[in-house]
Formats: sequence, C-alpha cells, structure tokens
Amino acid sequence: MRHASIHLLALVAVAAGCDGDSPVDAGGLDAAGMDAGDVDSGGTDPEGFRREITAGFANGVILPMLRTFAERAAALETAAGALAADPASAAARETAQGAWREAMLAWQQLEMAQIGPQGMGGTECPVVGGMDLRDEIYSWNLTSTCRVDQETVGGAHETPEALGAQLVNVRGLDALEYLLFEQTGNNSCSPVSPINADGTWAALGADAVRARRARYAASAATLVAREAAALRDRWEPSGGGFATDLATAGTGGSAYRSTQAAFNDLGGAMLYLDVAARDMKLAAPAGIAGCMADTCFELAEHRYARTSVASVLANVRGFQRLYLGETPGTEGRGWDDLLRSVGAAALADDLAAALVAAVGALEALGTDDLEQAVTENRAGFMAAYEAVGLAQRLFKVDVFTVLDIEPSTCRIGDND
Amino acid sequence: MIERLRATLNRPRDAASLAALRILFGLLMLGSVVRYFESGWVERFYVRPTFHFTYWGFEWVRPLPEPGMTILFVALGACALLIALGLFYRAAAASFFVGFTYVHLLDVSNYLNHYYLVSLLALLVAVLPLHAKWSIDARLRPALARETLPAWMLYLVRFQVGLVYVFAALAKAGPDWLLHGQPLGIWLHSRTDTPLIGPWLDEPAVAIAMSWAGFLYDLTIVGWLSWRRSRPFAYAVVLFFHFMTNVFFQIGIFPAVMTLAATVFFDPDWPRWLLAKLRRAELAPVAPSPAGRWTLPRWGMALAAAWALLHVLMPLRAHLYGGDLLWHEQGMRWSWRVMVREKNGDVAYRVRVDGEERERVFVPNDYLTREQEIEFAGQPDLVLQLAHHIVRELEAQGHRDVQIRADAWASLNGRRSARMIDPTVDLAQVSDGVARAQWILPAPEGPPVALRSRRQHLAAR
Repeated sequence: MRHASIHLLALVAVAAGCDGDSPVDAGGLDAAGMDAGDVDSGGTDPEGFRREITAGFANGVILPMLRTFAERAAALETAAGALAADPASAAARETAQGAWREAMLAWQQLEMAQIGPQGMGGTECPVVGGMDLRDEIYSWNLTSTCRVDQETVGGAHETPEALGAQLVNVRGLDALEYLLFEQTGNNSCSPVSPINADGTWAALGADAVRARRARYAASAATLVAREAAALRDRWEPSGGGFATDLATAGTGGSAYRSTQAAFNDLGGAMLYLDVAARDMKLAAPAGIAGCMADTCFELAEHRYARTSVASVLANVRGFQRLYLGETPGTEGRGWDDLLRSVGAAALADDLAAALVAAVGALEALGTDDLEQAVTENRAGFMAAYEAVGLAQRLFKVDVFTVLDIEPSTCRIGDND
Repeated sequence: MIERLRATLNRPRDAASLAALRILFGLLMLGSVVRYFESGWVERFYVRPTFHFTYWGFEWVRPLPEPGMTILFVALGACALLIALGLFYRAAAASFFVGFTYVHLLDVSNYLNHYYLVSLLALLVAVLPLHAKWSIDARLRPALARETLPAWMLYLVRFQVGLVYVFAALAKAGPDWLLHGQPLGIWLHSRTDTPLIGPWLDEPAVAIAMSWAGFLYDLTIVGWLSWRRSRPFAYAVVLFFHFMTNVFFQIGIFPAVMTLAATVFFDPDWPRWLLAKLRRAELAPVAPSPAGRWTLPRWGMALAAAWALLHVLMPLRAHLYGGDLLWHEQGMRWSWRVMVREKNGDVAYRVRVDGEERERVFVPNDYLTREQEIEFAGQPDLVLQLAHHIVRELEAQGHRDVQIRADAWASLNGRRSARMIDPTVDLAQVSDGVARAQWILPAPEGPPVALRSRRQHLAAR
C-alpha cells in the first residue's frame, strides 16, 4: 500500500511536468522511488522523534538555505560593486541583475521559514527568538520606490553605514531590484514630490542617475550581504546557535519550551504560502482577488525584474523542502514524517502530491513574468493558482488539525 | 405540595458560602480584567477589528469608540473589586453584569462557554443579596446584614453550576469522544513534552481513557460533591481535573471559575467551618435571620421554574437541527459544549457583480484579524455574516446584482477536510436565523482521525 502511494506520487510528479532529477522537484522521491523521510532512528520516545523532525528543519533545511543565501548575497555584493565601478557597462549590469535573481530565489525559499531571528519580534505576537531580521534583507511589501528615488538624490546611499541608518523600505533586495532593473532613468514619485517639484531629479541627468543608482545598489548589496552573513551566523551552531535551539526544542537549553512550540512557529511561518504567495503574489496582480479591475499588475511583487512567477515557484519549493525536511541531495525529516508517524500517511502523501502539482503548474507557465503568464495563458495561470491553493488548504486545514498546530506564540485568546 | 416546596425553598441556610462565592467571584473577575489588559486583548478584540460578528438579534450591539472600551474595562475591574468588597454592591454587581455581557455580545468570534457562565453568575450575583455577610455594605448598613439566607438562593446557584457539568457530559456522549478518544487524542499527541506522563500521552488508549474519565467526571461530579462523605475526595478530583486542564489547554479562567463554582455544592457553612479549623476553634451555630422580603413568593417560584426550564431547553435546542452539531454548529452556543471539537477551516468567497460572468475572489483576512479568522473559519453562520458584509460593502460602492458563494472547507476532529457550505448557493440570498440551514452541507461521514503512538508506529514498520 505504501509503495502504491509512492508510485502514485511519482506518476503525479511526471504528469505535472517535473523532470524528477531533483529530490525537491520530485516531491522528495529519490531515483529509487523511496521517501527519504522514511529513515527513522527507531527511538520510542515521542519527543525524541519530534526533535529529530525539528533538527531536520534546522540542520537539513533552514541552515543550508541560509548558507546558500549568504553565498549568493556575497556574489551580489561583488557584482553590484563591479557595476558601481563601471555604471555604463551593460555586461556589469547584466551580471549584477543575474546575481540579484539568484540571491532572490534563495531568499524566496527562506521566506517560508520566518522563525527565529528572521521571524517577528516585538511584544505583541513574536515568534521564539524573533528579531525582525527578515525586513532588513527583504521588506516587500513595504517597499517604496519613491523613497529610493529620494535617497538617490540625497547622499545617504553613498556608504552602507549611512544607508543602513535609513528605514528598511529603502534598502534590501527590494530596493536593489528597483536600482538594478529600472532602466528608464525616470523616478516613481508624483509630480508634487519635492525631487520633482524643485527640479533636483531633472537636474541630475541620466548619467548621474545611472551612476548614483549603481553606487546605491552597491551600498545596498553590501548591507544585504552583511545581514545575510549575520543571519546565517545567528543560526550556525558555532555562532548564535539558533539551529541548535530548534534542533533541541523542548530540552533545557533550547529557546523553545517544547517541540510543539517549534511546530507552531514554523507552521505559522509556512502560512506565507496562503496569505503572501497565493493571495498577494498570484491573486492580486492577476485580478483574481483584492483587485476589482481586470488585472492589477502594479501589485506584482517584481514589477521591474519581472520575475514574480519565479519567486512564487521558489516559495513553493521552500515550502516543499520544509514539508519534506530535505535539501537536494540529502535525506531528512519533515512534516510528512511527523504525519506518517501519527498514522496520517494518506494526508502526508496527498500534500506531497499537491506540492509536486503546484511546482509543476508554475513551471508549466514557461515564464518567470507574471504579466506575461496572465495575459498569454490565463487558464494555466488559474491552474497554478488553484494548485497552490490546494496545497495551502491541505496544510492549513488538515495538517493543522491533525497535528494541533496553533500558529505563533502570540496570545490569541482563550479557548473552551 | 407547593406550599411544602415553598417552605423548603425558604428555609434559612447559612449565608457564608454565598458570601464566599461573591468574594471569590469578584476577585476572579478582577484578575480576568487585569489579564485582558496584560494580554492586550482589549485593543486586539474590540478596538482593532474593523468588522465584528454580531449575535442574531443583537446586531445593534457595537463597540464603543476608543478610549471607551478601555474605560469600560477599567470600570469592570473596579466593579469586580467592589463586588468582592461588598461595597456599593448592588450598583457594582448590576453594572458588572451589564458591562460584561455587553462586551461579550460585541463579537461572536470571542464566544466562550465560560464567559457565558460568568454572565449568568454575574446576573445571579446582581439579583441575590450576597452582600448580606462579610461586606462593607453590611457593616455600614447593619439592616442589610444576614447570617442566613433563604435556601432557594443557594439552590439556584447550584442549579446553574450543575447544569454546566451535566450538559458538558451530554455533549461528550458521542462516538468521537467516547469511541475514538477525539479530539482529546489530537491534543494529547501534541503534549508529549508534559513532564512525567508525556511519553504515554500519544497512546490512543490513554486518549480514550481520559475521554471517559472526563465524561464521567462531568456526569457525576455534582453528585459526588453534594454527598458529604465523598465531598473531600470529589473536591480533590475537581482540583486535580482543573489543574490538568489548565496545564494542557489555554482555557483562561475556566478552571478557576469551575473550581470556585464547585464550592456551592458544599455545606453552606463551609467558609465558617474552614475559618474555625484554621483558628482551631469550634464552629459556632448561627441564628436564623428573618428572610423578610427575600422570602420566595409563589410568583417567584414560577419565575425560578421558568428560569430553570429556559436553561434546560436552551442546550437541548441543538437536537432540533439534526445532523452533526459540531459540523453545522447550529445550537452550538449557549449549550455547554465545552472542548469537544478540534476544527480548522479555510474560506474564500467567489463574487460576481453587475451581471458579469467573471468571478472575483474575496479573502477573509482583508476583513478580519487573525484571531477572528481562526474562529470564524469553522462556523458556518459567521461565514454567512461576512458574506453579507461583503455584499453590503460592494453595494455601497455602487455594484448591483452582487452574488457571493463560499469555498469553505473544514476539518473536524482530524477528518479530512470537506466542504462545509454548498458552493452553488448564493449567500446574498440566504438569511441568517434560527431555522435549519439548508446551505450547510452534511458533515463528512466516517470516524475521526485514528492517531497512533510512536510505539505503534515502530511496531507497524
């Protein structure tokens, strides 16, 4: 029966257009059709097994994601520095844009794991260890391109230190997208904005704008690279050790008082697939939800890089990695193993298949550009939207019920 | 016969236990108000939401503009303290009842059984002269002071508290709870970190045993508490039971309310007995005080009987609807169905306007706070309410012929998610009310999820 479901999963994967080469793309099935998550230490202590899952999240997925992102952020810093040195170079710009795309894809997977230092801090609804560091790296949807233009006119962008003193909505990967991909030389502020009303923008001229944006991008990329390295270090066992906190949840030294607290935080973080990926990134710009016009492409996540579909695909893949507890080329534990261990194997299989289908539907669009996907293949886009919706529903409704997940540690009121 | 019953109901009983109830109730409510401020719930539940789910028939109840709600909670805290002190008691108790009930009529998504119980107890506290003993009022105005009160007052409070236990037991008398140990099994599975007993909590047999224990506890505890010989052991069980529920579940003041309320089944002189024990003194008998105007007249008996009947019929109304109550939730509120379901949902609305063929999706989080969304997603009447709100909003924007349908999915006690609302029904054409809702789909058939323990998982490999 188990093997039958595995073969069924494999069939779904093929039918959905997956190449099956990557363990992630294939929904966690390796070449032999085995679910890597089946590896089990055999310990009888339920908490011990649950800690194996949290350790899988920490060491098998999130830490590798952070390391990859830090590497790509460093590459972006180098590429942006080269562009700042030669702002007129098309090749340097293209290299910087490519580095941004790679960094963004790595970050989009991490968007699903906003727990610990990159999770929400504060007093109202914090996650365990939350420090709000996510916005330091990527503050979408707080991004303000007009504010970026204003900083371009001002001098704060000239050094990472000065830029770092500004609000998060003028730096980070979102500001970098605008700086690297906006090619017209125009600004996005209204005519009554000071930089337009007093003529300071017009006085700069196209070359100066290009040069300033390149220097600005270099400063922003340096900040992103620093933040990426610092965030990684906060998780590294040799650094801040948050990965160890997650891996040892429920033991004396961990910031998590129980494994359930860790599952609650991560479960809540993965609802990003629901609110952000499905509703805000796919539905809103396509005019499906939150938009009364035919389309609202101005709401797209990446209006300048035109890689909105790619980012959602990365979100789903990040979700998939966490769900399966796997990084390509490795074996690990994830939510699916927890579900199987409590006897909910059919649900585990269905969600794995739904994720494979969602990845397949997004890949089948054949473009990273949301506007192109919507205008040229609306049926395919709707299929992708529905596929992502099915995966999020199985997680949010079925998995949450079976595993008693109550997102976040905020005190959401009593029960009875 | 009736006169004999009336004589029994008017028999003088020691006022001490009701006075203690007043003091403890006031202090507990004060603590609850402090907890509301400490948790930021005043703002999050009553100030921040832009949309509130109203109770049928109470649509006119709206929150006060800030700082009105904050001031109201401060006033509730002050009233609770005055109740405990027995100072300006009548005004404080009546104000507390009105204020507390108003607050909890503001938004259905905040409904809790124990808030309902607090409202009912607050009403009884306001009506009964519980400041007759151990109160500042009685010290200042000796004419108020009583050593005894007519027995009907104690019986009325006992009835109200006993009803909670009995109906909480009846709510558990179903296959999910008694045969499958759900939803307790789901909750215990996620609490294997509990010290000492944690490693066994994922065993299905433990869930079933604890389910039966909970059912039998609710069904019989009133009897054990009422029987003098079993009372000490029964109250120890009460303390243990509510300590455990407090450890396992986030149910706020409910364990404290029930632990306090259980004292009404003691002999009415128990506080004086306890004080005497602490002072190593003999328990002195009290002289009966004249009941005076508190003597229950015939019409008072009729009123008490009507009150009792109302509170018996209210929970029973749920059975008129048929089907799975935990799924359609008609008759769920005001019926003491305490902690009997684990339910999560996901709702999206498909909307057509102005005769267009095209459907747009409306998502709840554009209207609701996270707290509201969690509660609303499993309650069909709330899904209908938000649908009507969206329709009104679109019509106010000038759209006509607004049609709205719901993609509402829910999972009950670990069953696979199923559609809760007929997706073909235009909810704009559906009225809310007490009639049986045809637009709610039947509950999914089959048993709830059968969770297995870590030990069973390893054995099955």
